[in-house]
Amino acid sequence: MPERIRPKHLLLSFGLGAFSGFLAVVGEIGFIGNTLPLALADMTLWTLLLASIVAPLVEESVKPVGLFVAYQEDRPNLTIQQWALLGLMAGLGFALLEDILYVLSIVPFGADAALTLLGMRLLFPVHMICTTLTGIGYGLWVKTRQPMHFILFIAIAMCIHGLFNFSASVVG
Amino acid sequence: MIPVPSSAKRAAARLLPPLLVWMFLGWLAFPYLASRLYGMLGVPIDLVELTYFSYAAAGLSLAVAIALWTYATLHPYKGDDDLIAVEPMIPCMFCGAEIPRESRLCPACGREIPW
Repeated sequence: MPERIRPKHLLLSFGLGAFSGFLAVVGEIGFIGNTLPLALADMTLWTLLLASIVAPLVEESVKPVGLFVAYQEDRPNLTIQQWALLGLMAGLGFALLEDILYVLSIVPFGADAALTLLGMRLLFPVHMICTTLTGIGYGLWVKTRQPMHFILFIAIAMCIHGLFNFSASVVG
Repeated sequence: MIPVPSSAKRAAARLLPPLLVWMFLGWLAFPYLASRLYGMLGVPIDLVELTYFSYAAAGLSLAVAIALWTYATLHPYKGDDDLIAVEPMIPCMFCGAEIPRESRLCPACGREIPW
């Protein structure tokens, strides 16, 4: 019989989703440091590469860490929909932390610009959509013991995230 | 092609439409906020192109949301019976003994199951 989601699991997913935002930023800073020559040679190509390929690969890989920990700790018997909800919480935590980091980076331009950027960031729940899909994949992996389901769903999430970042980089 | 169980499709169809409607509204508001922000920063942008693209993306988000909502209405989520029936017992990854899916330790070989 499936059990209810415990608050501990929601907090784990949310908190570790937010913490993974730091990990992703560290990974992306490492990429920036190693590819400075490319950035200096072709800034547009470098920005597209960072936003459309590196960021989705790094971020989608680390976001569901809270789901892994929740399963390792308690082995909860959850439904696919409940795993998807945990994924959604992880995406929410990640998005909030990323939004805070972005807003802090623009504070020197003024509070009005920072608030406008915060509004822009809150317009798109792309992290939540992607991690909900990853949560479904993880739930399938737990239930069927077939990691291919998880790989399929995280790949779909990476593609959606990459496509979104690509379009945002091109037009915005 | 990996077959995706219907419970996964139904869960996605139930959870994603509200987020996609949020995305739809976000794309509608994006040109206004983007032009405001870039105006403050002094960065020139092509507002016409941005608006066309945003409205196209908004339309796509809404179309996917409606498609998923329709699927969820026609195929309501009823738990994961299709999954549980498939594999209530799994083989231990170390010794191969049949153990309950939720087991942390294999009763046959005593080793901890990591996944």
